[in-house]
Amino acid sequence: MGGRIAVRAKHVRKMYGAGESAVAALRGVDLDLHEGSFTAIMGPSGSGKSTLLQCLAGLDRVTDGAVEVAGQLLSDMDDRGLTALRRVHVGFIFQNFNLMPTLTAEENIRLPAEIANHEIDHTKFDQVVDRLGLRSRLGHRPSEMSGGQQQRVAVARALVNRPPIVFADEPTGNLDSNSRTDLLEFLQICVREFGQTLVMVTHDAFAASYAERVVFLRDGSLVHEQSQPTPDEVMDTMKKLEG
Amino acid sequence: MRRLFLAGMRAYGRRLVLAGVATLIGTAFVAGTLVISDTMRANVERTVVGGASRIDVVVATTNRLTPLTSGDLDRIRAVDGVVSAEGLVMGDVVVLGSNGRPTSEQPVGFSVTTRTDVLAGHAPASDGEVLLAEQTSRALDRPIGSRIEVLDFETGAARQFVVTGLAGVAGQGQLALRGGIGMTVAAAAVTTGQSGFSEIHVRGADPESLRARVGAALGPGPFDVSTGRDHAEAQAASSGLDPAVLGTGLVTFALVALLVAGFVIQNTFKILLDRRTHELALARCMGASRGQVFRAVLAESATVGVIASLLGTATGVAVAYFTLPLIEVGGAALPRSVVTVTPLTLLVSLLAGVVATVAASVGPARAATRVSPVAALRGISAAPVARIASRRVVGGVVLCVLGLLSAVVAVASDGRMYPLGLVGLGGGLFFLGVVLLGPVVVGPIARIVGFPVTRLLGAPGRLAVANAVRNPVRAATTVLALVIGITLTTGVSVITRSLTSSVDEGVSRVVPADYVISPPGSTAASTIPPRVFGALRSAPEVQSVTRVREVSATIGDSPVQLSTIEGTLTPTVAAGSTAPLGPGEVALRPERAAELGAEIGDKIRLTVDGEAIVLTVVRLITGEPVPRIVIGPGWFETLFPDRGDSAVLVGFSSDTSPEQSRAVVERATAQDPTVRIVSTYDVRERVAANLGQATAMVGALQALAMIIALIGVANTLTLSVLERTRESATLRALGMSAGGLRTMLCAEALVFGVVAGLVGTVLGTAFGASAARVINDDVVVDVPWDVIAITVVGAGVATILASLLPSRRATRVAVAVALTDE
Repeated sequence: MGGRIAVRAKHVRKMYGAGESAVAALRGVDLDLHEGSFTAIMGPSGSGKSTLLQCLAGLDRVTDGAVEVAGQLLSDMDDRGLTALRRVHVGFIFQNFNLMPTLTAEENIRLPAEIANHEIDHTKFDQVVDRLGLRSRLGHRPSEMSGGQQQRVAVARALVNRPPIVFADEPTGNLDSNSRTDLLEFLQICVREFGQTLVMVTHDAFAASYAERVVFLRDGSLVHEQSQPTPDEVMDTMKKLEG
Repeated sequence: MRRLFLAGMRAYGRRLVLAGVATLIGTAFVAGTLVISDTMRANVERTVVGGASRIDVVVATTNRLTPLTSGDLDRIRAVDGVVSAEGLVMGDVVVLGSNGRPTSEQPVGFSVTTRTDVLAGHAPASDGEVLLAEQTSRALDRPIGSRIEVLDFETGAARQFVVTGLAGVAGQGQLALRGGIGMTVAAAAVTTGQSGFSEIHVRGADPESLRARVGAALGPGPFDVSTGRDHAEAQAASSGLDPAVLGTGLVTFALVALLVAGFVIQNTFKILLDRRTHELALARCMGASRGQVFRAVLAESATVGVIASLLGTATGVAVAYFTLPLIEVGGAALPRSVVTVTPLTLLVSLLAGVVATVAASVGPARAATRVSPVAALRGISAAPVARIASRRVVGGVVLCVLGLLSAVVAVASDGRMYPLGLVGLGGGLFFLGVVLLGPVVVGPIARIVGFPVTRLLGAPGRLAVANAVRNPVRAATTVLALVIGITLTTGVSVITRSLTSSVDEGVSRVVPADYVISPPGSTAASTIPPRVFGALRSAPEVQSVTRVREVSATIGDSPVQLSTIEGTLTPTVAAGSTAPLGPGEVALRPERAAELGAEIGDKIRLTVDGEAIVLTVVRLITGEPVPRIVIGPGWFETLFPDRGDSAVLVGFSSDTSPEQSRAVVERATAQDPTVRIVSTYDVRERVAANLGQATAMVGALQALAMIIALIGVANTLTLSVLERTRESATLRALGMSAGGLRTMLCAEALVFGVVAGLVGTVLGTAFGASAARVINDDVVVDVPWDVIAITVVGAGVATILASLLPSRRATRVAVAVALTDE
């Protein structure tokens, strides 16, 4: 551990709505994520874990406090700056895969590079595609693939550009148990072999146990933290939080 | 189901607004055109009644060469029951403008009768007074009390008149179209050169029986005897655009507009119902029958139809009410009091709007009933894209082939109306075929069109092209709505451009010169002084100048002209020697030689001023403007020294502008201002202006169809953007800028526009060219590439504009939406 800070949240508060109907989703969260770490964010429904992810990734603006990604303060950035940040530093993996239905698997994987007008690294592309076992699926469209395959395409899309930080939102939410294990193992490899920083929101204790560090949220605040827990340990903590 | 329907209206009402706007425009158009044609008809009735109140029976000659005589007039006056009878002298006159030259637009000369509607001042009391049609007084700037000069028909000498009154000529045939100058019978005879009457206007009791008695008194002859009312109706019909034809034309365009609106409405309902698949399935799960779902959808479309049609009808009537008085019909502005809005108009436009809307939603509503209740359990997924039935492809191909065959048969056959109908039918069938085939062909065409877009714009371009065709039925409907307007615009411009070019070509073939100068009078004594020819020959801008000189002669008893031609234009020798004509030698046109029974080597005898001349035929000549009996200019000069010219033809190099060349001709004729100058530019311009008016009108009407279609594009894109909210957000999350997203939507719209532009111009050009060819076999098919280029580019630009609103909506989507479950 140690290393430099990849993502830092300082007293992050997020309110939805205004006046009397205002709801606090985050009530002052402080969190530092080191480069090359694999962190899971857990918490009961409505605990604010998705909001936290959105704020950390610059998809949503914080009401108060500050978020730094790759040393840059997000609140200072306009839409253009955030777009540039996403192109270079950030990758996403979504629960619903969010592949473009009109594009083939290969086109989907190459899309971020194409959007950013970057040359794609062919060695990296081959390495990721082979590692995920997608070689034979490259010409298929999302509608012709299973959920597991689609999520692997989405993961490949997030990794091929070597973004230093990858945010994953319930990546295993729509997968069967075999696909789930495959995916989690692959995510672990990403961190170890490629040195990427991975932040994963999940409510699945089994998925969280793959992370080096699990942080727990309740009612918009960080309430607990575990290091390299087993699924059972995570489950116990969750029970306490929910109970 | 009423609750479901009401909830649907609440939730999707705003989405239906654009579909409603399409109906609104279409309905407004129907209402407006109906008001216009009713008003035109009312206006005709008004002038007919006005005319009929001033004459009871009209005798009109049917052959201009045998006018009615004063003998006829006397016989009519003797008929029992005739109160008065007056002869109408009518013909072309030459009125001089303030510069002492004939004006370019000449009014019709006529003698004042009881029919004449004196609006101000009084009818001419002496031969020195005239009455002007209102529009002529305005055009020539000659108010009551001013002076006006008209040329004597025979001598060409100018005669002075005083304007004493103004006349209304609305609905009076030629007078309405060209304006008029009313004189006494004597003055009219001198200025028009007419020896008799073209009409006799009779007053008396009981027109119907009077008509019979007048007819009996005159006996059979080349004339019609009709009642004042029938005559006024016939005249009104020839006073410009026939209201019936105009009405039919306008209503046709209104139907086209409604058809386009139908496409837009159909697409809107289809997309909205696709989005509501889940909701409808849920309703089915709860026990709603297919019929209930169907009726709920129809109720929605009927609501939209009623609201939009009410607004549309009101808009159409209002626009017609305020713009109609600005239009000049038959030489006079329409008074607002004539604007006619009938209950039928209101009913028809309301019904048309509602029926078009409901009919357009039947297809989508039926599709909605096919949603299976199970779909409710599947959760939200993109609606499956309907498979294209092979029946549809076969039907489309068959219709296209039939349409082509029909057009080919029409072009191959000769005749007029029947083949034109065939071309129309062919166009219709082909279009139906294209409607059926649209979803099949739109993909490949869009991909070809999209190739450069993909190349230029990278990822946004590639996504745009893929998005444009991801739902082929939707894409095809959107494109087809545009295609209709573009096809009609291109077709009409191909037809008018071809006809204009054909006329140009025809004019230059018959008159191989830019200007023809002729003497002011009509008799042989009236000539152009030779100084005009001399001046033109020495003008540097003049490329060719030719003069014809003539004297009256007789061969046996028949009058002929003995001519000589001199200058740039030379006759084509059809037979005989080509050496210059010497004294005693003559060249004949073949038809004249045949009449005289003369062959080369024969001698013919002419008498000029009582002296006999014997000529030897040495050649036969043809070409324009070659007279029939031609001798050499040198010998002509010896025989008839200082004889003036009877025609001078002038040609200019193509880089001389019409203004420059006219100035040269006017300088050359400065001392002889009353000579008549006819320019082929004027003829061409008049033809082009006439066709141009038609094109402009059709163009304006089709612009409406285009606007409706563009609303369709905006509509499709808006709804697609809503459907793809999560996709847009994902693209933003993957690093696409807001501008990139906008570019993507613009490119998608552009693909629609360019595909429609290509398909529309190809269809329009092909069928327009066929129609032009059928209308006139000699037509020079001239494809207006400039118009086509403008149309395609315009369609592209317009669709980009149509994408602006939807793309703004797309960029407002929060990126975090990509993470939502939805």
